[in-house]
Amino acid sequence: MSINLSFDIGQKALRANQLGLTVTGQNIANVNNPSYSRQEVILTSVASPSKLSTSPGGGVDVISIQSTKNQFIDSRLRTETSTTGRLSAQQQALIPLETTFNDTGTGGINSALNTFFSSFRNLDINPASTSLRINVVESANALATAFNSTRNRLTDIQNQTDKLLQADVSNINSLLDKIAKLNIEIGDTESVNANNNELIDQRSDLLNQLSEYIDINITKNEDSSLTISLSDGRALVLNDKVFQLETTSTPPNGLTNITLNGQAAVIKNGRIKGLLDGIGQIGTKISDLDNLANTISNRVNTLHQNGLDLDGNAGTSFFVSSDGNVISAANLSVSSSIKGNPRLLAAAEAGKSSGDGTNARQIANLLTDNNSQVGSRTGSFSSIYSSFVAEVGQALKSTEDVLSTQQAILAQTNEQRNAFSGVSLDEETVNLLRYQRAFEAAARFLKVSDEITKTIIALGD
Amino acid sequence: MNFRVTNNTISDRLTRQINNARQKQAISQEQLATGKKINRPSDDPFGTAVVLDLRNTQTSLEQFTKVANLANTSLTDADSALNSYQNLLDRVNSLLTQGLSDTSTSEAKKIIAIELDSISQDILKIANTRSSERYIFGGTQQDQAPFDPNTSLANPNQSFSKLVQIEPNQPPVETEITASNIFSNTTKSIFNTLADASAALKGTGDPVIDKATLNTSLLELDGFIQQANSTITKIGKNLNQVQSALERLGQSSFSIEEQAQSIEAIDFAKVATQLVESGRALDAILSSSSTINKRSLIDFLG
Repeated sequence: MSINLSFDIGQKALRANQLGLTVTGQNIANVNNPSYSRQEVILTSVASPSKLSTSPGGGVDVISIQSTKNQFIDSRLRTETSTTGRLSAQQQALIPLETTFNDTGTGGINSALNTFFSSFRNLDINPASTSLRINVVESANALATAFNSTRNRLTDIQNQTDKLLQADVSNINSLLDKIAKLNIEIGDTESVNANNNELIDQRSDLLNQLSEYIDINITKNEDSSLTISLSDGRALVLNDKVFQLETTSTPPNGLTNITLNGQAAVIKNGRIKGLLDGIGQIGTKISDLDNLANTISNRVNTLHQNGLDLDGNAGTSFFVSSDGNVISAANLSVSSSIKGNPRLLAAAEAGKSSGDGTNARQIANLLTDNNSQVGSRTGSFSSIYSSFVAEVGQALKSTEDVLSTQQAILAQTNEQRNAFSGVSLDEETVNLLRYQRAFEAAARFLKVSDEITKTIIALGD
Repeated sequence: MNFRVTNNTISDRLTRQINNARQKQAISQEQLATGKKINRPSDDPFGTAVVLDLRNTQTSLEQFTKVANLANTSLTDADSALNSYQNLLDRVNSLLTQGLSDTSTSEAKKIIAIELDSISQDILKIANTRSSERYIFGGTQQDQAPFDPNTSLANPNQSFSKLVQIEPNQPPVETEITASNIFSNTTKSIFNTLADASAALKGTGDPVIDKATLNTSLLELDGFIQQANSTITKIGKNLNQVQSALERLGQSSFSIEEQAQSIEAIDFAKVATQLVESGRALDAILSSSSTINKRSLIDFLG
């Protein structure tokens, strides 16, 4: 056995264990970094340099510093992150929608509907009363305002959600840029066989962030760069190239359309999908309200035109459109001539004298008449409106129910990732001790080797 | 559970558990504060719609109750006015009978005629009775006097009995009977009859014709008395209808409130217990967390 070999073994042992201590330090430093993967020093014993059967091995070598990653768990984590992102974005869009329809007090459409039709019921008993007529006009105004302002609020919510969507798209684009840059850096380190665990961790963190926004397909290339594509296969990142998502506003309501290379981007999951779904659901409620306002105005107008006003003249249109378009929740308003002269209210039935309230009674009964057609629904105005409220509530409830299950799934997947890749301080403390003791022992071995060498040299004195 | 428990696992789980417990606590607290299970549509979408429908029905019943109370007032007013009318007609009957008697002197007949004239004015006042700015016998012409206060001539504008709906999905009830159906028949009004009788009593010069006129007037009066009686019966019937409708409205209003309560009201004892339980759970999580986080190998190895 050559003395030199002993020094060699000792030196390698010192180096390996010191590296072990450093990696332990790195692990401890990143204990609270959720995207960090625990690293391990992979050691191997060095084969004997000589062919003799009595010669010992050549010590220890460090093969690599390995990051404990599990591709399967990581990809599942990204899918669950996408789904959670979609549901929570949808919830975010639906909560203000529900608040708008949480209409149990006064001031909302529901109470305005009741007050409006009640005012005609009051008019039935005393159709000639000016104060009751003024009351009808005022409650009709309140109904029109309730429709106008509720619809405005819905459009506001829709636009705000659309702004979130645009912000998210620009976040996606900046993530894509960062991933492409990391692709290059990782490729460079790979070619010189350098340690790139941290870069890969960073990229994997960016991928997790990206999958919160959209569903992505990831393919690994030979140079360890990743190709990222949409679910329809079109690439977002190809090596160092980035294809950014674009937003264009589409008429008539100016809502955002997301495109990739001029064609509509196919997005099936993630926050973007959730926001798009939410915007769609808000849109449905807007057109529901428009239909309701339209049917109410049509039915009231038809009856009103059949009746006679206080001066025996035929009734005119009670509700009109304030902007000349088809009557909707946005433009519903009371005819200005009736507003100016409540005598024009046609409370009497044709052929009867002005004090008759038959027509007012028929209008009052419209509220609970079950034959009103609103869009595809048939029922009374009040039951149709309460079905809107129930639908909005149901949409949010089912989103929240699925979301809470999904959050549990995501938490579990995260726990699984933590169990595999996370840092445990207890383990690292043990590692500290292990490497410290090994380092001390290696130093001791060197000292012994040194003493032996001294003894041999002293033999010559 | 057989896996590595890392520091992140423990802290993530702890955050989640505290969140869940706090959420449960907040839900129970909100329910106790409002007394309702349904505080927003998503708490119970179907229940929300049912409660909303019930409350709307409730509002419409309250509205009908208001209308029915007004109808009740109109009918009661008309009833008492017609009772006075009936008494006056009875008095006219005995006066006419007196006037017809051969023992009455022409002086006595003139006194009777003066009383008839004054009764005619009283009836005119009854026919033109007003209640809260409306003529109660105006029918569908509530802003016009049924008979001209000076000439006793009937209002030339045609008027119909006023119908008002006082219950959901029920035909309207006649709440105001037009004066023409009470004080007039197809040919003349009570005022015409009284004027004729009064003129005959005062004497037109021909006692035979006067007597014949008085006889005719007595016959016509009989007709008016019957008309008044049947109107009073009709009003009584309508009053009954309105009053039983009011009773029904009150009852259904009560049962609707009960139904709505059964859907949206909380069981206070149950929710209060839940609040205490979720508080206990939170305490347990918080105290156990301090125990878990205190223990680390670092503390034992110098």
